[in-house]
Amino acid sequence: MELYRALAYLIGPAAPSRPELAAALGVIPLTAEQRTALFDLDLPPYASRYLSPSGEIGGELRQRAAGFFQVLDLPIPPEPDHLASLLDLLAWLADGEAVGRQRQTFRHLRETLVWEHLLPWVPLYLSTLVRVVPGGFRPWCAELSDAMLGEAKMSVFCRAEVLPVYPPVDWEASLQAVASQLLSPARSGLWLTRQLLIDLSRSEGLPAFGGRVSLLAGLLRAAPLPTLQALSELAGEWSAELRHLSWLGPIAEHWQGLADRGRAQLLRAVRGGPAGPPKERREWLRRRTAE
Amino acid sequence: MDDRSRETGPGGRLPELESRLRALRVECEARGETFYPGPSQLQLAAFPPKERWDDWIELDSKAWPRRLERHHRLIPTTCFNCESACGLLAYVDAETQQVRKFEGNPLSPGSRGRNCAKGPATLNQIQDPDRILWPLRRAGGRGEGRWERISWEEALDTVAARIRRALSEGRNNEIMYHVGRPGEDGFTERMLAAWNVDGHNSHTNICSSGGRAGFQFWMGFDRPSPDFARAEVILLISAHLESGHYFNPHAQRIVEARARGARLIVLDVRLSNTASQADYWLSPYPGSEAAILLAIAAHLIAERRIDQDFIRRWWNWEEYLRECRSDLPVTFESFLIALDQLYRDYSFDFAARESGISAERLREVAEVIAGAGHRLAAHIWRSAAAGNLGGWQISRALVLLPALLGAIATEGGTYPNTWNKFVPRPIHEPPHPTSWNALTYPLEYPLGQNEMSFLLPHFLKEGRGRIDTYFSRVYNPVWTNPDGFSWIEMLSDPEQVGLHVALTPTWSETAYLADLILPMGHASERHDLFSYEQYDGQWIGFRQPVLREARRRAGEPVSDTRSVNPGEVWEENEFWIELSWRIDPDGSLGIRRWFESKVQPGQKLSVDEYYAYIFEHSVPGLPEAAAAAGLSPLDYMRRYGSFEICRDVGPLHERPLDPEDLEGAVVAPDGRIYSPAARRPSPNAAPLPAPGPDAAGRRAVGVQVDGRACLGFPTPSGRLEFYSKTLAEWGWPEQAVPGYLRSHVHPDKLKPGEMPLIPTFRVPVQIHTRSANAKWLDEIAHTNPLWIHPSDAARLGLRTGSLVRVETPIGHMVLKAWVTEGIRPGVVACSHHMGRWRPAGETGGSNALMATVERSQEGPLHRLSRLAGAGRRPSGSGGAPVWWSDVGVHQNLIFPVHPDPISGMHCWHQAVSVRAADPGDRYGDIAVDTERAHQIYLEWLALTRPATPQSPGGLRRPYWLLRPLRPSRDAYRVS
Repeated sequence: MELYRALAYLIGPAAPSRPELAAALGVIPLTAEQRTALFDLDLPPYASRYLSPSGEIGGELRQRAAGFFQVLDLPIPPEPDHLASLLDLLAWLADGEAVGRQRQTFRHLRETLVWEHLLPWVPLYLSTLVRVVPGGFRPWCAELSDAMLGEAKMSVFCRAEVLPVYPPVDWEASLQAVASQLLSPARSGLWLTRQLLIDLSRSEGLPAFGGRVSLLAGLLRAAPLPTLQALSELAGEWSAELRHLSWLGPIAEHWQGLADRGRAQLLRAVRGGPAGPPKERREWLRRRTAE
Repeated sequence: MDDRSRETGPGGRLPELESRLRALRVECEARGETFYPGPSQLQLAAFPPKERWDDWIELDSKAWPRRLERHHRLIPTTCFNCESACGLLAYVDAETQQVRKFEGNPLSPGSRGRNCAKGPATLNQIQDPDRILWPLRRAGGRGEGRWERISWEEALDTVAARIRRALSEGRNNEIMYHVGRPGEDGFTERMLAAWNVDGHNSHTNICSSGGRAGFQFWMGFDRPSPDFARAEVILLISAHLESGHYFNPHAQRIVEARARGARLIVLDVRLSNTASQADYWLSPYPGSEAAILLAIAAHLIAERRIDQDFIRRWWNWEEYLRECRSDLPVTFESFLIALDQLYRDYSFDFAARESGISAERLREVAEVIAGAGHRLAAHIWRSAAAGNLGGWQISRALVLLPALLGAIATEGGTYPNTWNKFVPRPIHEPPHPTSWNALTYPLEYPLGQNEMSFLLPHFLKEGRGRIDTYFSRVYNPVWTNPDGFSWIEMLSDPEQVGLHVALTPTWSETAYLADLILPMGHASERHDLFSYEQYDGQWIGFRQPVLREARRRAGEPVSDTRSVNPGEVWEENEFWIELSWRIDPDGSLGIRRWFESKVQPGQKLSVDEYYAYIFEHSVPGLPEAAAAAGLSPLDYMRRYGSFEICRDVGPLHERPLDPEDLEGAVVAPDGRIYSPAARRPSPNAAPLPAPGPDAAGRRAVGVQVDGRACLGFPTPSGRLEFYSKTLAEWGWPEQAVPGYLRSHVHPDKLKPGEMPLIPTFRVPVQIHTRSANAKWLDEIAHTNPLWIHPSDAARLGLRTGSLVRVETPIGHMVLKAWVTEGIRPGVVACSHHMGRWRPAGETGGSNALMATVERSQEGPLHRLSRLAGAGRRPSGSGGAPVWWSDVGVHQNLIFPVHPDPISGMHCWHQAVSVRAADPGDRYGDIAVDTERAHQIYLEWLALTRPATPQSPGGLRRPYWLLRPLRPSRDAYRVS
């Protein structure tokens, strides 16, 4: 399945040097600066980033992806949960399905990979990415999005039960930790880009530099109520947008549930901390902004 | 987006995009470029992209934690250890101009960038502190171990004068070239032809002749090329995942097939690495493999789970019926009846009695094979075919299965090797030698698959001839061949061998007995060109002196490989050209012209011109690919190291004949087509069998099948020869169809207390004596204990590590036992790579990876005892000092020769007595009686049916059978 290899290649670790491939997809390759901004700083294309409770790259989620390679006796790539690695693997399985007696086995493996390692996060990732990606790279998002839809529709089963369920954001934690948890989609239900946080910071007249955690922590410290308000509105919009991903079935429902839970939490925070009276709410905000 | 059927259906957008991307990839890779450069782990692009091979930067690991960048030129060459010829990339340090390491060449179509341990260990070999760096001449008596350095001039003049005198006196047959690893397709055969010398002597009859003969009698070609990667069922009578022919390229394709779900059946007495990966591991009694295969065949035939149409069209069944079943009408239906009758006695119960494997298990395996259809890939190489009397019939019985299923030259099936091989036609093609050397092809072995090399000491002992000049070339017969003490006797006697020239990179048991030692290069120090059947495609690979190429790219062209190799190490191609000029300096012998330049007539041919000519004229597609890359064909090969000519060759036997061949052609009653048209030169000069012409002298060009004129197979009938008229006519009518011969180690033939010894298996990291100077490899595997089953060990009172005495009819050895369930009860096994030794008092090299031994002789009684083990190599010579002392035991010394009377293969398995060592026995002790060894040679010789008197046409050998160096037709006549 050359399409998956080509899509993987355009976001792979090496800077692309195959212009005809990009042209075939109608894509203008990213510059090195754009690649860094997108895939290193803003939306790193790793399953572990979006499916783990910490929102950090690596860890158990990466091990799960590595295990998939391992059971197939394939060499485990250095970053098995990178989207390029997973698409390469999908291409390999699709090729295996196309020939040979073990067609059904490859079919089964392909569906497993799709439902366990790709669909749980890639469509949402693309929906987020398309907001910040340069226009010339949008066809890449569209092709992959189409391809994911195709994979989902070709499947005879889905494995939504493997989706992660983690505790919501712990509002009693430190400000830094709250920021981190809000930035973990698996905890907060929110998919926050760095660009969005920069825009929020600028609208509050705050300096906009640093990573996402420091940006969000800065916003919560300097402008807690408008930030929480904005985030709750974002959660609401996101929840509504997820209706367009209804073809994901239980996956979309899962993420919608997380977004709704996150919005509810944020609204509670805006109203006064975890379900408390106005006095306590102000104290909660004061305490955190004083940190 | 929601209407997926429109997107994905025929003509939809996604399929169109997919095909566009595929076309781009094909187009890009056809230009020789990497489509997905950069580290993508699934596309094997984890290798340095070739666009950056001129300046590849890596951090110096030894400089850590500093980040010290090292710049390299990556220059391709080819591994020269085993026969697989896997591509290597030499990392030549731009600063020091030295090779820092070897890794795989991703552009090599066979190995695809993957190597076993032996490839990277080439670094050990080129840095070996014990290697021979200068020409040496014996200073004392043969074997005394005293040497003096001489110049190449002196060495060349000495050898040239001697050969010139022999040729001038008509003693052409006294010149012999004995080769271990050929490494290049046909160079030295042509060199000998230019000298008019029938002196090519290969190692093949101690290696693969048994396997080859079975294939050749079937299809004319002497090897299979199984399409493992696309097979549904893989049937191996060998250990292909670790050591088979061609181990690494085949192993990786078998692994791919298994990943797809193909099933692997392995017949191996021993639990090899390959057997451990099998879906079905059958551990049969040694030599019973053909009984199993025939039982499976009988099952397929009885159940009619065969491809009848393929058999009807492609087997020579009519010839069989006419010759053997005159009681039946010549119809396909009666052939099926005859086939059924022929094999019905080979029941599963019979096979179970012979093999010791249950009939139920055999039936289960037969069902798997039956289900393979056209996707049965089968292979045997050494293993049982090399171990047993009649081993060639095991190979013939193996081919019977794909032939029954129609799995010949099908996708996932078994191809003839030559269809997947391309030997480019060279610049000069000297004619066939006009004499016949009966020391290599004696009358007793008219069907011997290859030269009867391992019998040479016995032939000379019998006074059949003498050798004036004997070249041992990357070969160590004293160690490798059976009955090594007879070789020592022969090589020690100047009356039998006048001058022994050892062309070798390293010291060896044979080199110690040489008169001259001429140092030759390792994998990265020599030129060679070759092609091997490793998948359904044709490709060529190039071996080159990498430092010569590095210098050339740096603007310092080199015309003599000695100037870049260590010391005065040379390469053989330049050596042979130079030697040939000195043999015939004025051209009066007619030799020199075959080594002259075409560009500058009258001047010496250079290796650059030699290869440039081939690449420009004889490799289809290469000039175009090179031009597209802006390179000359030679520079293309220097830069990338290999070129794939085509893939998916397909069933060539079905190919329609060329119209030129059909003009004036006649069809014989058996369907064979003969053409008066002259043979048209083909760029592919791969050796082919030569079925004879008809009475009118017309060439056999094809065969008529169902009214179609097809290319067919290069057999006398043009078809697959289930019935071999050749075998019948040359004295073996009872062996003319695939059958079962009871091995010389069959239980019925063993004396009380004897057990079969399996001495043929390789370990994955070693390769005969060639890898012995690779310290990394020796560190991994350096000993060869006797594999023995716990039940046998208990009976004999042995434990792992016990000293054990193994006795053959000619002597004994003392080694250690390894008690394991990985061997069949009642059978013992020992790997043959080990037991390297160096005589005490030998001054050549320190050879710290060998044992030092004392060798003594009283008449025909020889003894070898170990004085010291390995372990004196200093640090700084390839890592840490040698920490081990055990190097194993040289088992081949105690084996008498067992020449199969038909294939000529040495039947390696031994009937041995095994017992706990005597109190006075010491590890490594060996004792042999060479007189007794000669008697056993005579006993086996008595099994033969010589060419005379029954030879058809008064020939020494059927002309159509392959020979590495084929003499002229006249030389075939017994005069």
